[in-house]
Amino acid sequence: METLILTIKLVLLLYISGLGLSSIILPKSLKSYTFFISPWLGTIGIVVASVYMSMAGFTMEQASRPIFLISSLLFLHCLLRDKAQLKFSKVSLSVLIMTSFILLYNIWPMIFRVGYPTVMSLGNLDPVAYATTGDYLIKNSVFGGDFQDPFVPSVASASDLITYSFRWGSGIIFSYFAVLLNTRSYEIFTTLISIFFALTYPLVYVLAVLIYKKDKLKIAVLTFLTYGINSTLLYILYNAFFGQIIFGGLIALTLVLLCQYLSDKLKTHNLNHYDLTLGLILSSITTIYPEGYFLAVFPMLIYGATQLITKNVENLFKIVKIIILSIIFNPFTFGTMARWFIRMVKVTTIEEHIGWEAIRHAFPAEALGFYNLNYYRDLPILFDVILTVVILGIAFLGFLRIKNKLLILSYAIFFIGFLFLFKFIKPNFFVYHRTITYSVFLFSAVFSIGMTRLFDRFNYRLIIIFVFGIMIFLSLRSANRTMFQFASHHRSVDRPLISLIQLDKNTKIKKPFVTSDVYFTEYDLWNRVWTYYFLNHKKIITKANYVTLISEYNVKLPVLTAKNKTSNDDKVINYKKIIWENEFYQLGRIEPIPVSSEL
Amino acid sequence: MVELIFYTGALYFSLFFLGFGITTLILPKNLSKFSLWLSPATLVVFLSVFLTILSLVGIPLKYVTPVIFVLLTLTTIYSYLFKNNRLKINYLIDGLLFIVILTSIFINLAPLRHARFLTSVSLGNTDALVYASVPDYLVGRSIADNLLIKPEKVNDDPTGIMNMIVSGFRWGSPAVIAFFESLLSLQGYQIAYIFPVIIFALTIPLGYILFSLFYRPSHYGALIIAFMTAFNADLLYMLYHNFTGQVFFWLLQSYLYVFVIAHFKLLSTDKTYKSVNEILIGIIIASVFLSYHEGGIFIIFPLVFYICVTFILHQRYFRFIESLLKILSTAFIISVPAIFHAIKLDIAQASNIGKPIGWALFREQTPFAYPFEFFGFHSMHNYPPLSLFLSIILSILTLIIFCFGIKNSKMKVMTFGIVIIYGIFIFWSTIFAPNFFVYNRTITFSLPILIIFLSIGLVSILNKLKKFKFLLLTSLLLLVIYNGVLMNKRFIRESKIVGRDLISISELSKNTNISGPIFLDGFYSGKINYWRDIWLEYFLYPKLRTVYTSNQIFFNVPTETSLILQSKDMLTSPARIHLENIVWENSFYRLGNVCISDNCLTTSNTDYSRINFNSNCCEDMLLLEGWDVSEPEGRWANAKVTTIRLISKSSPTTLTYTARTLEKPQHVKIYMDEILIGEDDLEEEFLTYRHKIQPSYNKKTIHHLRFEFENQYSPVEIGLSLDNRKLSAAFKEIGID
Repeated sequence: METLILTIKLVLLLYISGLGLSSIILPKSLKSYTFFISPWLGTIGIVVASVYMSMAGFTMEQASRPIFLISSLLFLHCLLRDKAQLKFSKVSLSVLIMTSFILLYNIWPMIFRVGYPTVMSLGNLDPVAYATTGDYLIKNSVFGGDFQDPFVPSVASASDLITYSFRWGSGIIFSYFAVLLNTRSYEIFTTLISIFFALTYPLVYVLAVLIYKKDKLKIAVLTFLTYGINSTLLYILYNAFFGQIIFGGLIALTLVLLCQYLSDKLKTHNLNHYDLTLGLILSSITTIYPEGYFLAVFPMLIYGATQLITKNVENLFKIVKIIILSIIFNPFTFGTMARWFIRMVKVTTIEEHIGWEAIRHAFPAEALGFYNLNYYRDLPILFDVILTVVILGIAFLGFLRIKNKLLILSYAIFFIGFLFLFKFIKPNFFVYHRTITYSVFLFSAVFSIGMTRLFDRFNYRLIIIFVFGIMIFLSLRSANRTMFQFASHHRSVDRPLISLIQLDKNTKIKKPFVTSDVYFTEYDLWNRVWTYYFLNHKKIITKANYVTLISEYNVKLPVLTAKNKTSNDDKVINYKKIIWENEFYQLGRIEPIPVSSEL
Repeated sequence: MVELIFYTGALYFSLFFLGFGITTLILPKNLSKFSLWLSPATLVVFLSVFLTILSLVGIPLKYVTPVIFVLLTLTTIYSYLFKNNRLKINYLIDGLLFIVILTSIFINLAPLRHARFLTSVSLGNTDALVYASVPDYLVGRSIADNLLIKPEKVNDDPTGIMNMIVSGFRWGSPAVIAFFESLLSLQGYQIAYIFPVIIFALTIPLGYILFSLFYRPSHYGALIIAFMTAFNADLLYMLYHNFTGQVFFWLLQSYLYVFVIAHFKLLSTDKTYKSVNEILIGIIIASVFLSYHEGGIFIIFPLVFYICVTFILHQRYFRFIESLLKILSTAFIISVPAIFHAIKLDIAQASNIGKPIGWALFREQTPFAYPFEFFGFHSMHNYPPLSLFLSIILSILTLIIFCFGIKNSKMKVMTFGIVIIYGIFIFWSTIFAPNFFVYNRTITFSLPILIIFLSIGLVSILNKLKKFKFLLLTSLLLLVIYNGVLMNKRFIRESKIVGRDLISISELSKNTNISGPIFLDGFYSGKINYWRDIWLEYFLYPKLRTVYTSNQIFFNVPTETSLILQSKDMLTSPARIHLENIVWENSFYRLGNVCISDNCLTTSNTDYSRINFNSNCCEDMLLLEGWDVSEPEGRWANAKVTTIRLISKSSPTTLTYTARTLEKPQHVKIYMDEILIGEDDLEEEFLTYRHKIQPSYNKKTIHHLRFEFENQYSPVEIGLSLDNRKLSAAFKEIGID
């Protein structure tokens, strides 16, 4: 119940933050999709405004409430003046239902397996960095931070996101909601990432409708199957790649706006709503997912080049305006994005080591989620080829009938080029896989249009039902496989870890103490990093900082262990005196034992 | 001298040449006749905004400058050749303005004319340093680089760069200076003073343009505005103290009002009027927040006031509100982090108004300028205040003329908006929370505009007078000119200059055999020559770090192997020390190790057995604890226990010292190497005291002497002077034979 209530609160806050802004900046031709676009504009508004205020020295504790107040006033304005944009057709109502299904589907494990809002992951440790950064920015701004305290190893994650990869926007999103809901960032992490993923599906649907110019239930269902419950994407979601998930929505929104912009007949020498909105989206990407900026902009440049060749100056000027505006909105974060992007290129192209389990290169059937890429055996190559030909053929069929062909082709060529590069020229399965997940929205939209065209052409009800049935079966089966893997084998920030908050708040314990990983050969990184997270107000000596600090302190300091883990290998921690304890942990002075041989 | 004339001329010319193209292409029609004098300001606005954007992206300005120079040149050529834009010149008025501008530049560069080379000069404020160091930084690096500096270095801020960029968000003004620095291949210290001098001079014609917009063109108006601005002692005081940000603000503020008035006039009269002027005005506002955010409220308030009141009075002017929203949105988009930062910093500064003011009183009595004083008819920087009665009468007269000017102003709502906001700050800084410095800054922010209204009042009166017109005008202007000239003479007399000695230290930074840190000789004397110390740091940083009293907490204390930089000019050198192992020297400085260890002192050939204070080369090495700085009459012991060491080559038999006390009684015990060798009662005049040293004490070579005083006296308590130090005795000489 707690999880559901939190989910509802977050969704409400997103809509309050976004509806008002949408009523002002969303172009008229897209007002009918306000309900699907507004949470994204709200997110963008939150990020852009918060980054400005943080750069000016405000903490999120100071900035969140004024930003929310302004959003609320705009929301009221929207309710009073622009009620029309909140009307739904039958199809859009279906999209809303399917969106809700996606959301509930993905938070189901948290509701029924865990029972409370927390962080869940299939193994990726990224959530601790986002949670730490989110909590950090509540009391600090992005400049002038002190990350040097050797007793607080958790602060290294915040340092990494703020001063190295410049993912301010991602951390700020957590800070914003944490302040408004009076929670900590870890509590809202999984819920929020699930919400963003669910809200991306309507954008894919809108994209398909805009480029096909027909609003059909079939498109809504097909995009639901190929994006909403796409097992390849669910793998990314369940591994808590927050930046990637939110970028998926932003790039889809970018393309939605671009498609409509290029179709709309406007005077181009004036700035208009499209320019401002697109500029804001790109500017927000520079801090939410910096490496995504060029992924969004390069295809635009390709398109711009085609317009230059065909002497369509009007469209070229539109692209130039958007890019210039995205720089002007925040030139500093544009610069940090560029620095980070160059680093990423070097890392991706020069370094050989990939810190992730091997994932085979996905074929289209796997990319669209009909066959599970991560948990099913590899199909024989013949099957892959046949399926690829069929799927690409259907996509091509869809491509033939869409508007803005050149624009879509620019994006498609860009993504296909990346896939080719990282499959054949500079093989890197991880970048290949990421490219698949970045581009699925586009292929999902085009494929859905192709399938719809096929259905419309053949119009045999039984065949349509049969084909739909197979597709639903395959997608659901594949999605369920991934979801049950998540439900059964997830790591979570559980009650024992959360109980460390009691120790963190204990004012009587002021001196440093040692964590048990100093003695044990502890490989459970998950427990270690989250222990550091919850003890961030205490001075702790851990495996991470032991070597730096040991010359100042001896091993007679108190030791913290989990009650169910007082021995490891041949070592046993025996307590002489307990200073503090709760149901899960104990802290006290121990009989001397040697430290881990790794130190 | 040639260099000074050449670069001043080049700067002046390039401001017009590079600004002409964009000015003539963007000016609304009703301002085209002023394109000559608007060109430099237009250039400054565009450079401040776009260079800041590029520097925030991370691009050093040295790469950007050639590109922008070419683009601006092409724009000028395009405007002149293809658009046939030409300057419209009124030879009488523009000629007069030109002469006054040249005169202003000429007199304000007086100290540089005397020095005969390009350098920085100041009446005392050390802000000159940051306006030299930050442009240097931006030429080779960027604002983004500085914002990204790791926090452990935040508190150590060599040459004040981080204070300006990270704490102050003052980006636009140094970016503009950096552009010209790069263009003309100068260094920051060479342009930091002459650039604001030129900018100040170019504010004068903007004042006349505003005069003609608020009132009407007038020869008298041009004369009054020009001289009252160019020779205003309060404005000159700020210029001479290197408040460069404020000088920029004067230019930008005047320029903004010109555009605002022209734009809203057209908006109200021409229903078909559509232009990009909202964007331009927004860019100007953005440039204010990027260059000198403290002035932001003084331009936003009058604008908002004008729009809202006009809308209330004439409700059909809804397009005014729309226009205002576009203006503010543009400014917001371009400079929003600076705007937020400005709000935060200004609130913090305002709440600290009651805290101690880090500035000397302008004058002991009444450090607040009366209206007739701040308009230049009398100067608080040159004279004590007149009697209260006279001051009130003259102020009332001045204010009557000022009110007359407001009454005759065409844009009354705008005028009221300006007067109200400045009035609020004046009231706040005089009555509500008296602070002479805030008051002075409020006045000096507003003076270029307030002078316009006073001039309107004066011209209106002169137009009504049939007799004595010329006499009145001449006497008023002569008063202003006289006070301005006096201010200038004071500047020449009291200015601190970055002289050739300081510039010569840059040779040291090119020496690849030397690595820092380098300690300045002030460590050993306790004397601070702050101007010298900060400029030494400027010329050596970043190649070499210098350590002096202000930044010593970031470094270890100097040892005998530390490199000490000593001035060869004993008048300016704070310390009397002897350097050995000289590793570098030029005509002004030497760099070496100070002979301070026992071993060095005992093996040195220099005689360290006696100190004659102020004529001894090395007293600061021998004095240990309890000593004040050196003074002409000797050296005061400022503790109850003072220690000194002396070195004897042979067995000493006598200790002699010449000393006096401030007041009797003053009993002193003298110990040598912890053994009491004598006691004296000091007199109030200098007397020499002798004590025999027993033979058994003389085995050591280094001898530690300790003087233990019974009492300490303070000159202020005795009524001798305002000196509030606690002093024991003054010494002229101490020696062992």
